[in-house]
Amino acid sequence: MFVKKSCVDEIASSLEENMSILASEPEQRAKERREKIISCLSIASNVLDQIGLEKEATVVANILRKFADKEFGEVTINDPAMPHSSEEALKNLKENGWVFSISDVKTKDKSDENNTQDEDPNTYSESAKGQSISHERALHELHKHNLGDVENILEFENEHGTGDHAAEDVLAWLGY
Amino acid sequence: MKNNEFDLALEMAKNLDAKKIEKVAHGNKLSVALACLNEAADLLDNLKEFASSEELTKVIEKIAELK
Repeated sequence: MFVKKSCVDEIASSLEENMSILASEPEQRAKERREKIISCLSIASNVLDQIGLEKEATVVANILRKFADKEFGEVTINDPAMPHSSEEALKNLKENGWVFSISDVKTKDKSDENNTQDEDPNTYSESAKGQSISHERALHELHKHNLGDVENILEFENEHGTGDHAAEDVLAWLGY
Repeated sequence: MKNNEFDLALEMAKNLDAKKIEKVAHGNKLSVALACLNEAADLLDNLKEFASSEELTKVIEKIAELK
């Protein structure tokens, strides 16, 4: 009626499980620390800005930017339409009426005539489809879009939690 | 609220000083910023990011002087 399992197998699988937990712990702790650093620096920078200590706020924001760039590198979504910075997005908005770095005048060739805009694989959100990004990276993106203050971070975390996120969801939240 | 409690609250409200409140709020915000910066500096030290941590310490010292 009962299948007797070898106790050696049980001990081995339990050991394996414990070892994998132990191996991932330092990595997990470092990840949590990095998230906390980004969150703390972001809050401090915004509070300092609010109380008029702009110089100190800028120093803290620069430390945050340096840290985030070092941790995550530059944005790697391969889309020519994507602005590389919030400044570029603002410039595009001023000059072209939208935040993307390409013109919205579509150059269709004959074979594309039946395609709708949603099916164009080169659209911004299309390029992010299926990509997953960490919570740290999402916070970094929020900061880069000047949405790194406490209220926005809490709102984002309420809506999307603190785990990994679909890049599409983050882009949608950022208003793309 | 009982009458004497209401009178006391009213009396306290009359004595509120907007400037004093603003000063306290400013001090509270400074404390929040300092707490965040101290925590970030500790964590940066833990991750051996000593250059950033030192930069933060300078900012912390400057802000602490304002308190």
